[in-house]
Amino acid sequence: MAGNDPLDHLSSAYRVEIEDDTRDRHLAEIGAAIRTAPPTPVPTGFALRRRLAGALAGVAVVVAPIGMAVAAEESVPGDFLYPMKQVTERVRAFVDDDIEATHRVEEVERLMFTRAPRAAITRAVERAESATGELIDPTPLDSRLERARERLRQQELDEAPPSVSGDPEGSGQQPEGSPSGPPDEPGQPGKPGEGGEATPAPDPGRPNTGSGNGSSGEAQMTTTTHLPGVSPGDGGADHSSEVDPAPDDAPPGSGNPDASDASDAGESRGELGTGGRDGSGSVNS
Amino acid sequence: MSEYPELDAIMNGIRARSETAFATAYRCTANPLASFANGMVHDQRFAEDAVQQAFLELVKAAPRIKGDGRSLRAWLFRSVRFTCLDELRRRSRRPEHLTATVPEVGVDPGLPPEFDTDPDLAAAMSQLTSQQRTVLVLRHVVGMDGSEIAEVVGGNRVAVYAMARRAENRLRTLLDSTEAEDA
Repeated sequence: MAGNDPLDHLSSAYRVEIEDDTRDRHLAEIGAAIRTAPPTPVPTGFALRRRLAGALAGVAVVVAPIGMAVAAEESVPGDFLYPMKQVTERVRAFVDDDIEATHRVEEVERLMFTRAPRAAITRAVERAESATGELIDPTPLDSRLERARERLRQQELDEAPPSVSGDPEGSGQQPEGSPSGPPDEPGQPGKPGEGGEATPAPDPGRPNTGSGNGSSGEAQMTTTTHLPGVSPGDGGADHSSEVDPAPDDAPPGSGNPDASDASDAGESRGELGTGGRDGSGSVNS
Repeated sequence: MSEYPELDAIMNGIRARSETAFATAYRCTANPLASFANGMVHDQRFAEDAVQQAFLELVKAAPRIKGDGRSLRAWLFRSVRFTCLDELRRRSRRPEHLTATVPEVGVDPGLPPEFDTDPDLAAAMSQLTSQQRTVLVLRHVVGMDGSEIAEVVGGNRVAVYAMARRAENRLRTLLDSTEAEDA
């Protein structure tokens, strides 16, 4: 043994021959285990539900971003999904050069349609202008943007008179200052002389005559400083309703406005429109 | 397929938990598995139980068993190996059991006469690490080649050869020293 390699003894030292009765006992137990083993390897119950949940989660992981991207297409600046839109936009910009400008113009239109705050629309218009400015052929978008700008100016003018007259005069004066019937009648006597000239100063002052000179002076100041182009029209809307129809050439431009009392206001709006447009145009350029 | 055509032929039966397929697998692998377990733990009774245990686990895992007969054989050896490592750990936590069995090596009345293991060899083997013993037994008792051993213990063929050489040298050194003491 000393002369041999001890490794040769390993096999004989540890080799095991399982005897027949032991083998039979083992095989019997294995057979019993086979018969009691769950026959269906098909997952059921919890395992199945877990697999289904996994599959659903996988689908959700794929579908959710797509849904978000689609939903984000409708978003405007400030919306929750707007950053998503910006991301998809950056990707789509690789194949579509116009996508950014198109989105900006769409946002302007959508904001106007939803009557968003003026400031938001103005910012959107600025963004749209810079975006369309980068295009090689901005014509179609420019015309859409121009239409939107025009409507914006229109709205500005529609909303401007009440805001101007309302601010300085306060709540007590408001019922008189409103452009409906009452203020026109006291204004009528003095109107032919003043309304024909349509000078900015006396017109806003006229509704205030009842309340006092100080407030009228304030009103004058605000109107002249804030909306220089609007103030003459403001006077016209307030009291020169009967004089206006004759000299007014503008009505065709403002055919859309509203009903009864708007017949006067609408015509005056036509005047206002041109005035306001010139004013804002000069400001913009 | 593999070098175990008999096992290759029953793989579908194993996956379907056919009783005859399990009987064939047992006939082909039980003795090498028991020898391996005996080499690891040096306890023939335990070795037989470990084989039994491996097949009962195979019943549970059968539908998920992949590959050919060689893979099945490696799976069974892995199962026995883990059972043996658990047992060795359990025994090392209870040294009184270890001292009760180790001196009995070679004179265990339960063992048939041809198994009177050389006590020096048993003592030397017990001084190897369990990994070294695993590789040595699989190589010299079971007769596996390097890549088959690698399938059982993990790692690759080259690492297994290196491990086997180191284990063999260590075993020879241990045996030489005990022989020198005897003389």
